[in-house]
Amino acid sequence: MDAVADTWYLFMKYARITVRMPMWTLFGLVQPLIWLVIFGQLFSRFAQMAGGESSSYLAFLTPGIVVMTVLFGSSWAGVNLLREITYGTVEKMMVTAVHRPAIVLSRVLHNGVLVVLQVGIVLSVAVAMGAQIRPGVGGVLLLLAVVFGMGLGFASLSNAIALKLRREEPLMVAGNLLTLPLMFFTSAFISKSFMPPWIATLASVNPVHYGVEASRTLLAGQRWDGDFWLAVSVVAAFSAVMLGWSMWLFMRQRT
Amino acid sequence: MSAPIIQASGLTKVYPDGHTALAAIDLAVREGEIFGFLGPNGAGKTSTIKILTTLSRPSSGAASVAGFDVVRDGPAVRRVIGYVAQEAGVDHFLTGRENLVLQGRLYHLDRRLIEERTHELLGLFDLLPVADRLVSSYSGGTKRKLDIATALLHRPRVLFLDEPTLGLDLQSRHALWDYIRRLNTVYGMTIFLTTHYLEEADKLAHRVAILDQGGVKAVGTPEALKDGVGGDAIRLSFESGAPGPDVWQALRRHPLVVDVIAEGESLHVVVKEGREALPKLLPALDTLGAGVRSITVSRPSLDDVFLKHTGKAFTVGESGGEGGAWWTKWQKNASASQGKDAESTPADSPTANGNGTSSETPSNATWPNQRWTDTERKD
Repeated sequence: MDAVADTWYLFMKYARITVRMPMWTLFGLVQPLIWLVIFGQLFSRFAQMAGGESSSYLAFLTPGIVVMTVLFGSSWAGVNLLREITYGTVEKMMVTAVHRPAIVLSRVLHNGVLVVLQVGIVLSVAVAMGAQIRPGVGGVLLLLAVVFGMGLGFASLSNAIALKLRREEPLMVAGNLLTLPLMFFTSAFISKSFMPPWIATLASVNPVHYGVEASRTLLAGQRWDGDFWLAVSVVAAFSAVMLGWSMWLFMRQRT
Repeated sequence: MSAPIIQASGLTKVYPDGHTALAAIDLAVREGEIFGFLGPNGAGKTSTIKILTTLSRPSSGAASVAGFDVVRDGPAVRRVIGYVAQEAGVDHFLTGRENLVLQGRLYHLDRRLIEERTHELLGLFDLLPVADRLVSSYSGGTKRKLDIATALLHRPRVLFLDEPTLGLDLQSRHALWDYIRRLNTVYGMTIFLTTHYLEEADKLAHRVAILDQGGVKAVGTPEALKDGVGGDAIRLSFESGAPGPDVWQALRRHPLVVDVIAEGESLHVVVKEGREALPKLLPALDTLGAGVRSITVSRPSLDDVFLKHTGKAFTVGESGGEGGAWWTKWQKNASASQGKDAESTPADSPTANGNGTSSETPSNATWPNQRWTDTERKD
């Protein structure tokens, strides 16, 4: 029970800091929103060329922007962990009676909730722009669960890289280097059937791609078929593995 | 006497890069004392404190705190200790009060108890006026006080302070000493602190361990350690300038005198007990007809203790190096005439020069007040 309580207290600490400084949460939305607006406009003509409506590309793009929001929102998680290590906050917690895994768990849970809020804002903007999405209540809830899982998973990955690199600058470089390729090797911007084969191959081993696919199925209100559940399973497995890895690295670290 | 509250034997820490931070140190800290761990940067102070607080594992050897083994019983150790690191680990984006409450939660204390103790500690450290302000607005000294307060919420039996006054201005430093003394006297708390400030160890600690290059070189009360140096220095200057050789010889033969060293026109007379020897020396000087102009008696400082046990000054350079040269010569003479100090490390300071003891005039006439350079660098 102490483990759950410790996680909760630390989670509440991060939540309190987020509420106290909402600018950081909003700041993380700037880039996804720019992509939503500019890409939505820029590529809408392609949809028209292909005989579709211009608003349908926006609907196609929205799940990709949702996942992008998760990635951008999570890539900072490790930087914050390193700061807490540098400030001695982590060490200070380590000598208390705290259940140590709670130190990592509370952080990534907080990130999961944070990206859910960010995605909520992104979706509202997309709807306001005229994106035709009709997920239904169950779809929205499941989407938020998928988003939460991805936020937790990528925050764990960021924490794990942070614990490996131990320095802020290379971590930020790694975050930047990883985020965009991970986005491009997905069906976020064009569907998989239009991709060059080598990109399609990379997409099929990219967990982010499955996040986009699952989100698209949900936002379009499509049937939850086998492919959909496969995508959800890939996301869940990826997040579980990342969480386990980051906690293992944290528990193993010795000064 | 009860068993020591902190005990270490053969404690060794070798880092993966091969650097030996601790070479088999032994320690015994008694319950209720302020124990100062004194050494220059890189001596192994932080390595020791990290092992004792379960943050790091020893490569070999064993240590226990309040009877719990620091490796096997980590959680039990953590419940009885408080730890204040060099970096104030308090959260900048929370208020002082929130930091304290969170800390209490992490020790799974009862909510009411947390509230009570938070208020008490805020009062004890005079933090009530800033309790509800964000820590990011605190000054360095205030942050340090809050950091210490958070380490006390669960009433630890042992408080570990790693360089508690590092980077603080003089006023905050002295204020912090008062708080630390208060914790010791009011709560009877054992306090283990590391420092590279001589004055801090001298004024604050009941007992001091001198640490250098990963080894404990000496342990004792500051007074006992200083007594162990061999004696006090009486500095004499004369009406007629430099005294004649007869004065010099006569003093040297005097039974109370350990050694006589000329420094310019004055003499350093090393005696076992300065305050007692002085009245007996004065008549002797009178009969010689040496007109004494001024007399100063100085106790050796911890600096001299460090010098004696490590054979080197804390910093090799400008004033420290020169002081070291002077002291080393004196130390050699003293050891030779007393035929003891067998356990002290070789006193061959690289800065010693072979000029003999008579005509040389070290530019710093401040002995024994030479001090370690306060490099504000972390260990």
